[in-house]
Amino acid sequence: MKHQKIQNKLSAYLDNELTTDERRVVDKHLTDCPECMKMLEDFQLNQQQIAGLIHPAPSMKNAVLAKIHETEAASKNGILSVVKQWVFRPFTVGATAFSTICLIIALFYVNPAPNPQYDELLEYYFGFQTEEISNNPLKSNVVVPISTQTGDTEESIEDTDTLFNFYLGEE
Amino acid sequence: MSVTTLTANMETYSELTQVEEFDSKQERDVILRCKERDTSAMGTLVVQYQHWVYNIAYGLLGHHEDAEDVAQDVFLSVWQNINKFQFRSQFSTWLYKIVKNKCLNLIDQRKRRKTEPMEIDDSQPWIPLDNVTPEQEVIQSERNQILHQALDKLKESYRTILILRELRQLSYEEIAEILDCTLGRVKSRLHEARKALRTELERIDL
Repeated sequence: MKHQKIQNKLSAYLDNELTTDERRVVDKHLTDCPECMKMLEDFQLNQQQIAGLIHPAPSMKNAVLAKIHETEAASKNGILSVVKQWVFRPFTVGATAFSTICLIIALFYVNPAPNPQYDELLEYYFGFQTEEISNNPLKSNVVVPISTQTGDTEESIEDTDTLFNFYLGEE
Repeated sequence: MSVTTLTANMETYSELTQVEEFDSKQERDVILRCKERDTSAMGTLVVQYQHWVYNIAYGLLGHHEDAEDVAQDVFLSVWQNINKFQFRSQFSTWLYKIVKNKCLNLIDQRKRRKTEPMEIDDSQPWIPLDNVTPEQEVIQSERNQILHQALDKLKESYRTILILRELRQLSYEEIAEILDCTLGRVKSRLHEARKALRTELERIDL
């Protein structure tokens, strides 16, 4: 096995992760190669140094349990409390006021107050239906009972027949 | 460091050494109780794992306050996501995966804010493995500082794998699971990481 290939196995050699055959080859190479031997020694020393980096951990049981209780309480209050908190926070109250004003303006544009159709419907349903309204071409969408139109329809049919006969040259 | 501080720290350490490690049955029972929203079981889990969670976080971040914040955040995540743990892997592997992700998130946040890398905070004493003289302690403290500096200069992936292997002494299989990679990748990355650390330490010594 070449020098570079063996050098790449030094880490696994240190961790005892090589097969018996691989280990035997590396052992043999190490006796002849001071460079690889030095590398292995350095790896070993650094390993011990890092293993010695252990610090006493502060006790965190109480802090963690306090955080758990805090989050549990917050989730119990539900989304309403989250919205309330957001709306009334000092730095978000301005944004809330602005969005409320925008909402009111948007509602005004979407649903403007005067609506002629409503007036007509009110007149129709509450008995203010007059000849003037039903004949007004601008208010043609007004529903007029069929009974009031019967005479007009028959008359218009008669008029059509007269015109038809006139163009065909029949009296 | 004053004698009082050292004594207090040694007491904390001696308390830690008194924490007996769970066997797998005890661990399973405690996790099942946590799934049933038993906060006292969660307290037990914190006491059991706080030492390693904190030390891995410190190894990756190089700062005690950040390590403590991350460790607390990790345990909060464990509580919130404990139902996602289905005993398909070891609990410790699942836990250290959360630690790694939280630490990398914090490192990313630091980078996005374009803040200077944190200064190595080695204000707390390391745990002496044997009885040491004050001189030896000073030398060791300096060595640790240099080591942290070198680790801080490494790529995140190298630092993570070194901390998991050398500090926590996890197996290649556990590391592969935590890092979501193959065993072959663990082997090669660990070798590259050790080489990079060696080069960095040589550079600092010069």
